[in-house]
Amino acid sequence: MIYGAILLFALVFLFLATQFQEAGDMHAIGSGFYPILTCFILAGLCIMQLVTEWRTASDDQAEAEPANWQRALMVFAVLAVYGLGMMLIGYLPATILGFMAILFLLGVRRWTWYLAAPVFSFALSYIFAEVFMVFLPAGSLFQ
Amino acid sequence: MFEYLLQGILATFQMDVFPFLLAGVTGGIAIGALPGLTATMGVAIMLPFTFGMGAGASLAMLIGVYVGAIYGGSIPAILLRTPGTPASAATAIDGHELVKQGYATKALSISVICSFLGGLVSTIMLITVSPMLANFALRFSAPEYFTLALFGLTIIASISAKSMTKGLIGGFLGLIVACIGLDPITSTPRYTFGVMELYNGLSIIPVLIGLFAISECLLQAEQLNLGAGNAIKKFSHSFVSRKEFREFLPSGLKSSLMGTLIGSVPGAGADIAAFVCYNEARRSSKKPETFGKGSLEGIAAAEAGNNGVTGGALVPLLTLGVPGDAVAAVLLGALTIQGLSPGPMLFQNSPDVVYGVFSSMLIANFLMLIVGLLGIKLFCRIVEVPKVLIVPMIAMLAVVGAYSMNNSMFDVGVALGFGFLGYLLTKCEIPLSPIVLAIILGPMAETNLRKSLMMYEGSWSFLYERPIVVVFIALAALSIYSTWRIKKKVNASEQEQAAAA
Repeated sequence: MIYGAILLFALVFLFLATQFQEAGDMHAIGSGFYPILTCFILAGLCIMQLVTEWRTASDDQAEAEPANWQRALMVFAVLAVYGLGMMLIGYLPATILGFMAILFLLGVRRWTWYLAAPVFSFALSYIFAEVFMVFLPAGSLFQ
Repeated sequence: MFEYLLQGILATFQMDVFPFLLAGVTGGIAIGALPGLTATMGVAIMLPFTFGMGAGASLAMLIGVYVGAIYGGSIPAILLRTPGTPASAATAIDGHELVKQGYATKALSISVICSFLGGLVSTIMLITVSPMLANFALRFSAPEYFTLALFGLTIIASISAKSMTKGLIGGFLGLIVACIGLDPITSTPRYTFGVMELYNGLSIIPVLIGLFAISECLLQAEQLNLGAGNAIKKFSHSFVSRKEFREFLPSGLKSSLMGTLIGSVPGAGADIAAFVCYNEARRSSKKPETFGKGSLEGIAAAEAGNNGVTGGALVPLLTLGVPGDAVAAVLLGALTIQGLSPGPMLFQNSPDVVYGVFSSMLIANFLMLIVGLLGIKLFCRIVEVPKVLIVPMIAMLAVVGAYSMNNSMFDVGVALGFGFLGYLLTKCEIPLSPIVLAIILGPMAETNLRKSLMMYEGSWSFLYERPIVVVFIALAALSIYSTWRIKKKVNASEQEQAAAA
């Protein structure tokens, strides 16, 4: 499926490259040449790989193992919410909550492990602000 | 040259640089010691810490992480037979056998001594060869830079783990990503979709953080097994004897030189160097039958070989602006943050930075030896840190790091997007390093191709009229051929090891 998605991506970007508005025609190759060539080759490689996968599909199906991809997706969702939350409620509360949420998703149930969340968050904040002079967001709600 | 080097060494010992170098080496060893965390990821994740630093401190810290992490990978390889980094896979073969015999401290001390040897020899080569190569590269103009970038892009062939097609798909995806933004010659907007943040193209740092840190967190989250522990058995604390030192020293020295040479060839990374050196040590050993059963020469060869790459990989980066591997690509990002562009002009315009890098490499290796020998017992404990705590730490650090570069939520989005892309691609066994190399080398290739065509009024004759261009084209072909040969050799070596095991 991924090669199909990349092939679609290459074809869409190939179409977009043909629509670039040239600023002038004094050059031998324009701004569309390089992206068109790249998209074209990428599409060709995806077709090659799709054919290879299709030929060996029966072997792969036998070896396929169930993976815990739902957990990875949930961790990704936490990170996306964490990024937005950091802007809204500030770095410290967002990081403590985000850290704890990931620990929970990873199956940690011992409460002592959750103490790592505030320790890590305060330590990182201190290092960024005091040692590296990089200030993390305070949160728009509290400003 | 020596005057600059002396100045660089003195500058590295200043209090605004040295603590960061020491922190980098120690942190790098810790990162390398954690199975699953590679040197590339270590350097990428430490990048955000360097935003507020000067060039000297920033590069010293990242070089420290690089040197430390390549050695650190040998710790779990030896203790758990789980290489902390791919570069340490060859070390695991004999290192873990020694542990099983009760000589963990001995194995770890050989590993750190030979990592130091490899690093030292490669740094000396870096210091002596780089200025000459940079001086030569001053003659380059657009056609030479185009073919140089083309040569650099052939690296994709060598870093494509199993399937060349998959590596190329990653590379061409990177080339398309590199097209986002204003066209470098006519400033025509390409793939910007009216989004202002895209007009300057995507920042490399959020892309690197996403591809190497966030994607790794997602993969670890998927594969994490709470029940699995990293238990280490009790072991003897005896160090190497003088007789044993004499036994593995020649192998370590030879592998240091070989590792340096392999590292200076763009694309041939530390993992390839370790296997090639290990194989050569076994071939030339007086006791080849001990290999695979806890051979001291085997550990020495693998470790000297993989750390020999550290200095070698910086030769093409500093002199030509072409990153030799993924770690060098991240270091290139660090130089860019500091407003510096690697290449021959760096030697002309910022010799203090170049010699600062040389001296940081030199001192980092001595620090690695000291920290490595003193901290053997402590580093044995690092491999026991539960991954369940490491995953949220790296994930939080990655998001904060992506944000803090420009205080931009857009960069966080880019990091998350590339993190998810990296996760999907890794699951399909598409390597991520070609994407990064293509993002860096793509604009260099396109800009110089178009400039060359303008110079030659639309004619492609520059491809055969200019001697250096012809040499680079030949080197590109040779690079693909030699990659094929080395891969064949490494695969044969791995199969032999598997059969022996």
